[in-house]
Amino acid sequence: MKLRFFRPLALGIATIAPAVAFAAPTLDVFPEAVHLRHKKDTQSIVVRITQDNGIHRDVTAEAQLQLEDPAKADFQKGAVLPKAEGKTNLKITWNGLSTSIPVTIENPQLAPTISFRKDVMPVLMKAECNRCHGAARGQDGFRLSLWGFDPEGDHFRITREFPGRRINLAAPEESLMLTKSDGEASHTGGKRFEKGSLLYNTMLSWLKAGAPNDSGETVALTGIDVMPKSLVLEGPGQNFHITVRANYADGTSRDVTSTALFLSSNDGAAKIAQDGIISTGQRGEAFVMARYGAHTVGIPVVVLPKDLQFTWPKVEEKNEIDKLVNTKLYNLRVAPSERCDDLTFLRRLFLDLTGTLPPPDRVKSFPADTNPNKREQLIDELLARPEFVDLWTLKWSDLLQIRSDVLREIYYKPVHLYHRWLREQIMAGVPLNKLAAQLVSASGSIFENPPATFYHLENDPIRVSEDAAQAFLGIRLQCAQCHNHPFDRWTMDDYRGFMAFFMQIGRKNAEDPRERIIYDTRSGEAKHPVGDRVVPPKFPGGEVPSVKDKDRRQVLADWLADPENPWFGRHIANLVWAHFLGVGIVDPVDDVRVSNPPSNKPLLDHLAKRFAEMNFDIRKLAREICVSETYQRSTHANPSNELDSRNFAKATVRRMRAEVLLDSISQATAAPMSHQTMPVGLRAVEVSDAKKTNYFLTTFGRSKRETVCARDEVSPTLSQALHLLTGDTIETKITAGALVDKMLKENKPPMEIVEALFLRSVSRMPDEQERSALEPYFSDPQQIKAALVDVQWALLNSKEFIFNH
Amino acid sequence: MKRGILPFLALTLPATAALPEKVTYDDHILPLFQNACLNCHNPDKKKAGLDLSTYAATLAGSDNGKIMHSGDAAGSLLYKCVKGTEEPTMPPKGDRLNSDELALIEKWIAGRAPESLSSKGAPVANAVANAVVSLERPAGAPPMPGTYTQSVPIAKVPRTNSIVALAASPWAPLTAVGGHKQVILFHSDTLETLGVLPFPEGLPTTLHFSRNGQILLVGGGIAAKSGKVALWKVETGERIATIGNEVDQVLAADLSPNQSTVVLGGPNRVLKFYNTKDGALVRSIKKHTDWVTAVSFSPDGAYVASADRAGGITVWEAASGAESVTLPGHKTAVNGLAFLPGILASAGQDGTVVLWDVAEGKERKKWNAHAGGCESVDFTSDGRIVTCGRDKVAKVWDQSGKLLLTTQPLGEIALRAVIAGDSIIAGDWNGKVQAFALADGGKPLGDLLTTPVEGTPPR
Repeated sequence: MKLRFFRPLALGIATIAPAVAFAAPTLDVFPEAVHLRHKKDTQSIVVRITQDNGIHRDVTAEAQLQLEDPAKADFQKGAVLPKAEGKTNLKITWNGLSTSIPVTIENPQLAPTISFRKDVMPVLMKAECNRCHGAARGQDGFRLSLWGFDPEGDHFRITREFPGRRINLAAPEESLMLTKSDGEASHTGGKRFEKGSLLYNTMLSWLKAGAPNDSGETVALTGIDVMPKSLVLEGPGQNFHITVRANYADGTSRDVTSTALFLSSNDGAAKIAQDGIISTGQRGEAFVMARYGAHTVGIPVVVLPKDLQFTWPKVEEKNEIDKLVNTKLYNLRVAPSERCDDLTFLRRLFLDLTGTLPPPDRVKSFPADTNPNKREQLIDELLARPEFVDLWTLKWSDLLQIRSDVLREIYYKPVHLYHRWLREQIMAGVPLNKLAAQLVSASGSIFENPPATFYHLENDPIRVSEDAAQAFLGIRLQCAQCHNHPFDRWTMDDYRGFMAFFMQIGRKNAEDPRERIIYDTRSGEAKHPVGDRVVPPKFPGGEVPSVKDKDRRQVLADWLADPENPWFGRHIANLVWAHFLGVGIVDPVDDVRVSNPPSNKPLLDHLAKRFAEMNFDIRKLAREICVSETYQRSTHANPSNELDSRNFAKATVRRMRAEVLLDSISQATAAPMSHQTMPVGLRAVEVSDAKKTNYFLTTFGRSKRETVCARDEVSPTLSQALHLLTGDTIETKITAGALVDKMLKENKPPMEIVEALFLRSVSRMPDEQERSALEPYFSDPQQIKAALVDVQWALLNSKEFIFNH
Repeated sequence: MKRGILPFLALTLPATAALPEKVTYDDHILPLFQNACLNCHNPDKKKAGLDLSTYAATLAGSDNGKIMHSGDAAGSLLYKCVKGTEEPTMPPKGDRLNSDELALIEKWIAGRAPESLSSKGAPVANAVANAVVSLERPAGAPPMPGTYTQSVPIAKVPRTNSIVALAASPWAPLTAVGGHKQVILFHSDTLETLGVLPFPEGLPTTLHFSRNGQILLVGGGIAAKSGKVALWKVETGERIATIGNEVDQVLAADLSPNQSTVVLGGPNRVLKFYNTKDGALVRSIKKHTDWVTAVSFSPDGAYVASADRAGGITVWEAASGAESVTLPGHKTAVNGLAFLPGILASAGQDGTVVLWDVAEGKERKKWNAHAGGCESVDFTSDGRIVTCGRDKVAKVWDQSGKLLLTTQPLGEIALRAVIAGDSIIAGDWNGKVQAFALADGGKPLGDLLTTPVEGTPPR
């Protein structure tokens, strides 16, 4: 019952437009099977049509649904109800199409006892009680665990924390839990549900039963399925209902559509009501989420205008990346831009892979090369260059905040050693999961074992754990320091649990005052701020590992390096993707959370999977991205993709980061950087210490590396523009490089010099219009030099130069 | 007034036509009297000495005295007679008043029987006598309920709520237990039910006998809606005052030993002093930073202590309301307070009992009493301390913190415990109230029937 309109495309270079693959309308039914386990168990059914243009329609109401054996079950109001033990089939017919799904009925006489965890906790979630009351200190004197992460505590607080107040077992209807919710009593949070509604009745039944806790082990909720998994709908005014099943550790599952909480990221495009019915609005994308227990699952919903005319262009697909990107684009009815020309590709690839401009001779020769694989060959060539290592050392140095700070007794020597070590690892192609594991588990002298400097740069376990979470996992735990994260699943327990890994780090001085020894103290605990209890080490969103007699950081490192780690590879893959495409699939890249979903989940899933298969080799991942047509698209928009910025329909115009821009100016002017204490000729990209900077780099937003999220800043400022126009950097470089002088001395004609200046800066030849516009300036022999220097200055100030496009 | 009264009506009446916002004599009651009463009770006939044709005459009453207690419909002869709950039922002939008319009269009296839209209404005059404050046992037989049968229906409930209101008379073998919209009186020795006092205002959350044992105070109400304190004469079962007009349940209240003042508090954090005679609010104090959970007068009436859910305890001069001392010690909720001359005991959610020297404002003794939380504390007149808590037992201590006795476990969290005569009476989360021996290892002696069914004869 999966998406059928997107038949698997031919492997390798495929030129088949997705539209060609569409078949006649298909009929899908969700779920694929019905299994009812007690008297009250029901299953809502969704019947979906996929039209020949890929658009979905909910035809549950129009279709005929019939049980083959009506003695076994009933179909009423969109749901299957149990009648008698046994198996039968539900037959679904619509417009000549038909299918059937198996129906199994077990224990139809069994009346289930009400369960606090399975029945009441979802009410607290659906009515959003545990959102406001989920604050660390509760709300108006009553606290619940955020989104119900602590059912035991919630049961206690509802029934026993303040006896006589919240529940009334003598008169259950008069319980404050109900009177607050149904509007009977004044409530800051207003009315949450109607008297007599399903939520009300569930709560009331539980109160009438004496507000029992669950006895014994309750079966753990392992996840939820939201069906269908993705939708393309027409708008406005179309409805589509979805169904949610909860899966339990014992292998059972049940329909929880009526008790799941629904949210939409974009109500304008697709609203969802609490009965699970989506109603479409304007053209756009929405991420429609169902939340049940600790699980939130979203499905992407694309809303298109009715009867939209759209033709999918003929585009190549090099690899799975292209297929996944194009699938999304087709669903959006957005056509990708064409492939960029050779020169654009050459410059873009040089800047992205090496942080340098292509040499003039390559600019001349590359377009002329007739080898059909020349782009791939260039990718392989540049990946092997040391500048590639420099660029990624720089990226990691930002992430790890490599900077000296004499006030905090962080001297240049360990910083330099740390940077050098990092460069060696990337040079040697150490898998990035291993690299991260080495950092997290590092102990010993920071001189002898430079990765241990990770713990020298920051002492505070709060900062260390926050930084590690953001750098290695892309998640921001900060909010959960003082309260449970309001927009994500992170609780204070997650926060303190992660911090607990970093509570046993010892730091002692060595002979050299610049040196430190990092060691494992085997003592020190993270305490929960509410109640001061010890929180054991816990992987974010995961298990509580055994750390007895172990270096806790080693335990964390092993988890981090595990190819199955749900966060690390995915985060780094996204980070690498964002480097090449200018925007992350999750964006910002260091803010991975349920409510900030990836713009293309299958794509991110694929990259993460591939990255693990590649043994976390950054070169291989970079190669896979660079060979894709998606990377090689032009920045020129077409009418359908001009408003799109998140789906990679066109290439993104990106300002060069500060270090690369300065190096490019040096390269274009043939004037190497002379940087304070650094050797002449060292490129800005190679500078190890963020403290060593200059006005240009600071103005252009070089990362100060003071916080983990302070990435290089590429947003324009007035001082940047002024500095390029009137500042001393360009002027000084032009003078120091004296390119015009040299070429004039070689008696080169002015226009040849212009060509050389174009090749060195914007990596192309001047076009006819530019030539004829410049020609008159060279008529006066006295002014030729001044005119040429002006041309050089103008080129270095042009957007075409400053931006990677 | 509107807020406090409406729920009361809603509880006692079937669906009726919407009542006017303010019921007045001129606009509503006189026309009703003209239809149904003035035939006899006019200035000329004046049957039984009663004239209802003017406001002043109505207030003046009949040969039997006043026919109205301002603010207390249920306690007013006028209402009882027209409702038919007391002889002579009125009107004696012809149609009885319908429910809408009854509601109108009830609301009028509850709203202090105003004459017109612009008048405030008749002053409340509660029959609360001044008491001589004494630390000694009062002379004569201790006050016990006489033979009174409550004619109001006892709330029929499938089970009792958690026991949060429980008190024993300081002198008589009498225990009061809060139930659903009622207070049930038991003989502390025989465990027999002696009577039921209706509290339609909601759930009783606190019970206190007056120092002399003559009056029973009950505080409570409907959570997040309304709160009241009621005073009853123990011997007659007569409700002599209804005090307070809170917008949330009263969680804690006590009556001053001289019976002049009721102090109450609840979730709105304000401590309020009410005059018992006219129900007037004397003072409100905003000092507590969390819900007020306990209030207790000192036996001599000089001080009143209050405590909150954040662990704060303050002792006030009862007469002036001036702050006498704050007692820091509990970091989490204080669940109960009890006073002996000069000594205040507090029960904390932190599991401890603290004895405070009130004059010095210092902690005198502190000990862990109940793991998980100490829910209540009380003194016996001979100075022993009885506590109970989340460890599901009640315990008796001397003032040095020496454990004298632990009862057999209750089935659930033990929420309230008192010593009554030779037994400990303790109530738990399940709503069960049991008596335990004060000797013999605290063995159970029997249950107090907290879910009386309708028709059970009291006594």
